[in-house]
Amino acid sequence: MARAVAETVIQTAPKIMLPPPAWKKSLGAGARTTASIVGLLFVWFVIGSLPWTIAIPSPIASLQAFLQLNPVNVAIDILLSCRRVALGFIIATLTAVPLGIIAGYSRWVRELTFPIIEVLRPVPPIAWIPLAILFFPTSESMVVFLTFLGAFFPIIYNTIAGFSSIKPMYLRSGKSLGAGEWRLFWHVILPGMLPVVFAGLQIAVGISWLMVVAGEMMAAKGGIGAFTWEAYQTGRYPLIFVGMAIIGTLGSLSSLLIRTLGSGICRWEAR
Amino acid sequence: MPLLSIRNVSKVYYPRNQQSVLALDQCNLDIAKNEFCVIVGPSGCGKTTLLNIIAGFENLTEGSIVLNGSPLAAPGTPVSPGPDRMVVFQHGGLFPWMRALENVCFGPIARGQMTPAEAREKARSLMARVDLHDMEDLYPEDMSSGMRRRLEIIRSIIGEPEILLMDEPFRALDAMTKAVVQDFLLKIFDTSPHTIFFITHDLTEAIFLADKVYVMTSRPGRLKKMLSVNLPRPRTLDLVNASEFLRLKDELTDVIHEEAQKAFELGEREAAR
Repeated sequence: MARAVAETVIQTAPKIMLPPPAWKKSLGAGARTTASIVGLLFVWFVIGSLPWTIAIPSPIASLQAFLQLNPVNVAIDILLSCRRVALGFIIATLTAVPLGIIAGYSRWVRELTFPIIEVLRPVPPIAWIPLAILFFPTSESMVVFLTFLGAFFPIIYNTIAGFSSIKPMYLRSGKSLGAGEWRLFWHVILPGMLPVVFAGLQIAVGISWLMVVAGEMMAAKGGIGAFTWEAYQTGRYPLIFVGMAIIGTLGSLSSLLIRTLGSGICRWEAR
Repeated sequence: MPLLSIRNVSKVYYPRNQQSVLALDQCNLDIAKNEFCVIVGPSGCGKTTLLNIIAGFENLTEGSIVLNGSPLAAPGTPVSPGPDRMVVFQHGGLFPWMRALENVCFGPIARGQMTPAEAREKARSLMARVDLHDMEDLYPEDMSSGMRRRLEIIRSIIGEPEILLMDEPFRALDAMTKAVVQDFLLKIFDTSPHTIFFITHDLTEAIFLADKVYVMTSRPGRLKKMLSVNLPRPRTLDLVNASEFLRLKDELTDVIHEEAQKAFELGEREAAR
């Protein structure tokens, strides 16, 4: 009798245990992403067709304007902006990460630099534009400086935070296992802080894009920010939306790039 | 001669803007080679402080500690952690960014004790002994808590330390997992003896594992009473119902209860102030 009961249980159990197939899950996620973008286009379309918003071009008009553009010119503008972001972002990473690590190690350095960072950090990066225009001889160096500046603070802040987020237990554990200072840095401190650093890099690349657009609108020749500003000044309104769409796409692509890089390196964090 | 001898060790903390706190008061303790020594006591009594001093994470204020004939710590001399005293941490000290095998191999490679190939070979054989042979590429996060504890024990014994310092290592485990991991620890202890300094507040665990159980009093932390556990080894879980086991547990419970009561009253008085 008892065996019969057990058998029924075994027969019915697997049906409940089956997980949904993976393709179904990713298809669902893809569908939701598409729906989200389509929804945005729809809202844009509706707002554009309201009777009192004559100046707002529809998605279709913008797409037509985009298709009439010279692709070589657009590509040049995109590459110019990308180069400025990449330069500023890379210089910021190469300076802010080591500086943050030194500040993490040395209380002395930390006490010297932290007040400066705390005072300058709340200044919106855009407020630096007038100073940057006055200070830099070329508009190119001015824009690169702005992208650097936008990225610098979140990176150094997160590097210091990442350093101090490492549990003392891991340092004790490493020392107890016999690791010297150098090995402790490469195998314990650096991997321990990396996830927080990457979170900072992701914020930083977004601010770099903000700054490149602002800088290009103010003073630079070429670039996608200048393209958008020119569209406004020459009254070619559909192109404003083309510019905005390109900036949005580039910004989210670079954020995705950093995120992919981060989860590739910090594989233990991937859940 | 004992392997580790703790003589008159006191520890005073000086918290900022507060009265100094006497955490440890004249502690004396000898641990013989290959002895399993367990410290029990109410939480906050200074057990972990004593362990941290032996491990080299904290300095002592008074007294001395001698390991294997050579002085380890004395007042004023900064102690340093080292691979002769391996620590198994309460919250788990495995590196989340290293896979299981890398975690185990880290120590011996770091101090040049073994080549990476030797370390891997030894790590694999040790992992097989605690049923972790298929787990070498997993990150600690992807293992169960019981597996992580086993892995951390393996990581701490691979370099053959003089003494193993275990700070309530099984505290966060459920009863079933705890029994399994205790069993693995005893199996390791029985097949290749180690000297173990083990902290817990679980009395059953203390008697089940120990050769000697020390009771620590709280505020200030003093080593109050020593109980010899002469139960035969290898021990299995059904031992916990043996009459000698229950007698020891009764005795230990009485001592602990007295201490817990004192600690509680002290806390009440402080709260009333």
